[in-house]
Amino acid sequence: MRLNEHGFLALADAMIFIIVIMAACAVIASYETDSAFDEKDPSDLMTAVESTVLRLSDLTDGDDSMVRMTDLLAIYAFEGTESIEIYSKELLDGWSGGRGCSISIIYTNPIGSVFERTIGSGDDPIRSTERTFSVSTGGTVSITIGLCS
Amino acid sequence: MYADRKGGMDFLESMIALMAVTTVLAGFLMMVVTTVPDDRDPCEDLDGPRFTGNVENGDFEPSFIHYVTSFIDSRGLKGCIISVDIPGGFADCGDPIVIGETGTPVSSRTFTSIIQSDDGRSFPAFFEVVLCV
Repeated sequence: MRLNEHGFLALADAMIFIIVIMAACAVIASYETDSAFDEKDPSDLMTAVESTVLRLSDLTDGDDSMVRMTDLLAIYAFEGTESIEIYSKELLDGWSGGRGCSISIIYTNPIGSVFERTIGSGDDPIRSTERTFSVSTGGTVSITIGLCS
Repeated sequence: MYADRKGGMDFLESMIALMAVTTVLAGFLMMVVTTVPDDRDPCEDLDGPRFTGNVENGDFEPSFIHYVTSFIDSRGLKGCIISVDIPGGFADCGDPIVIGETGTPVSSRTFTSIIQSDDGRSFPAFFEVVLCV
């Protein structure tokens, strides 16, 4: 099949039409994606958890020594302290505004035993972030914060 | 320039059609771009890390009042309501902070900050900012 100049220009005409329409759609789509700004990022809460320093007595039966929140979460994974769970749920609710989200904690003690617990609800998170911290008494704690729709 | 027996002008006709379509579509595109309403959320311009403060003798002391006052003045907003939530009850947050007038809410956003307490503790606080017109 051969195109004469008439057919060729008709083809070029159609292609320019398509390109302009695609540009118009791209411009309109860019306006719509701007509204996605409000999506929450679990790493914000992870930073807050990492920066939190409380007294041991605030959430456990311990003394008034200062302790990082990551250490408290390791204690929770080890022995399931209820007050730490309640405070963590308050953090999740305050941050997510009641949307489903969770903190999964895996504490590995210095001899390699693993203790794992999850606070909050929300299966199949749409966004999550994970970080591992060293625990002041030894071992590591791996924290995953997930946000569900 | 003359038409043939069928009234067609072949190449010239195609060129004119091409330019006409391109011109009309370009005009349409410009019209779409210029008439899309500016529905940009004013909260997008808020500087989240500015929403913080400290805790003295168990009471939360905000440090963002001047910033928010300047912000609502510069954007032509009537006022702003800021609710502070400190989980765990480590400080008294008091009532929501009202700056300016409480008109019609147009936009809201929640920010997370770490609050320093005078007893050495630091803990997260959540700030719900509602802008009003």
